[in-house]
Amino acid sequence: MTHMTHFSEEDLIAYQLHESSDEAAIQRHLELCPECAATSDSIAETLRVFSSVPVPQPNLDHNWQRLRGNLSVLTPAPRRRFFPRFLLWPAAGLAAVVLLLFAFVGVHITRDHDRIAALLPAIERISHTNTAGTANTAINGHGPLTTQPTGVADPAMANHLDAAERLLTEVNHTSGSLDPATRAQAHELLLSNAVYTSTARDHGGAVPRTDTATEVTHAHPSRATR
Amino acid sequence: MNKAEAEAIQQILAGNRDAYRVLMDRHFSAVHRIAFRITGNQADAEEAAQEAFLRAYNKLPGFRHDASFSTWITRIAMNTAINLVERRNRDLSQRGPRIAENPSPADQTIQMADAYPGPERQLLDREAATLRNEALAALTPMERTAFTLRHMEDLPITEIAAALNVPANSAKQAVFRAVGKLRRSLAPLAGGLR
Repeated sequence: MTHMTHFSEEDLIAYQLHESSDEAAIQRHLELCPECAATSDSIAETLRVFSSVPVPQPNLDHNWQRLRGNLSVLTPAPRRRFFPRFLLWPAAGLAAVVLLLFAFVGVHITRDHDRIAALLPAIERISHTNTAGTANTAINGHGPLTTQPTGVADPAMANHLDAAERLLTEVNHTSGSLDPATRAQAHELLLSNAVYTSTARDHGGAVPRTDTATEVTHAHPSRATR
Repeated sequence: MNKAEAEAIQQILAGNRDAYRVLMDRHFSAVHRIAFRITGNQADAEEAAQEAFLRAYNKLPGFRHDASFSTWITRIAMNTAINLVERRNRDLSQRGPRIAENPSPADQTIQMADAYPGPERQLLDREAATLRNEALAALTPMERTAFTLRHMEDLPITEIAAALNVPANSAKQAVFRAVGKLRRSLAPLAGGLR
């Protein structure tokens, strides 16, 4: 005795509605299976009963008169918003990415700031211009490295400090590796520092650490090695 | 959208309400037909079609001119008709009196061929119509809409699904469920399930 697998009611409905993906197989089965054939006929009869419901024709004039009384005078819509609604979420996502990018870059710049800021006390000791202990904003904020005119008696020293200040400011605002000219300037400053240190020692005076800033800047791997 | 309809919409937006008659003449019958399939009666079909045209009119300022007015108004009409059916179902007082609360047993509903319908045949026909209407009324609005539009209006499943804002498979399953329910509802009329 052979076992016959019947099709479900849903399969047979799909077959009768021509929505089945396996119409040929169902048709072959229906020729052999009286049970499924009866169900399929019942479905076909149901569809036939519900296919003969006539639709009355509406009275257009009557409906127009009813509708016409409810119509207001229209004006064209104002221009659409500059920013289409469907772009709102993608734009918000892009803005979030940009903010994250800024935050990421800012953290890295701040790290450089921190390194440079660590050098400030040495420069301040030389310039003697920040004796009141006020915060220097050239690195961590904006503005010049010194807030007062340089009071150093030696013009050469003042020039050296100014050059160091400009160099540090330039480094502060540079992203990526330093260009060769800046690196050469840093070399010169280091050399000047070395000469100054040597001279001061020869004269038996205290040696301020003026070389720290440019040494560190020059040695910064991400700035000086490329 | 053809030129005449585009011009009509331009005139409407310029303040000419009567230009809407152009769109109504072209599409009201089709919209009413679909509304009738969903609601099942003439009065509700006209109400749904009217409401759909009024909604479409008020939304015309935002209507994209590259879209099809026919597709747009059809979708509005389907949603309006479905909402109306749901309102009617919630409001039991809207239901009309039932002719046959207890349908006759299956053995009394065998239909005989008769060229001249006598009183008995008329009664059976009326009972059959009542059963048919009750069977359709027992479907959910989505099942009824999907079934009538697929089977009676011969619309493709994809179009029905898009209008109902459901996946194509959901629309197809709604049609299958509807046919299954209708078949069982008609069992007394057909002499029982085979």
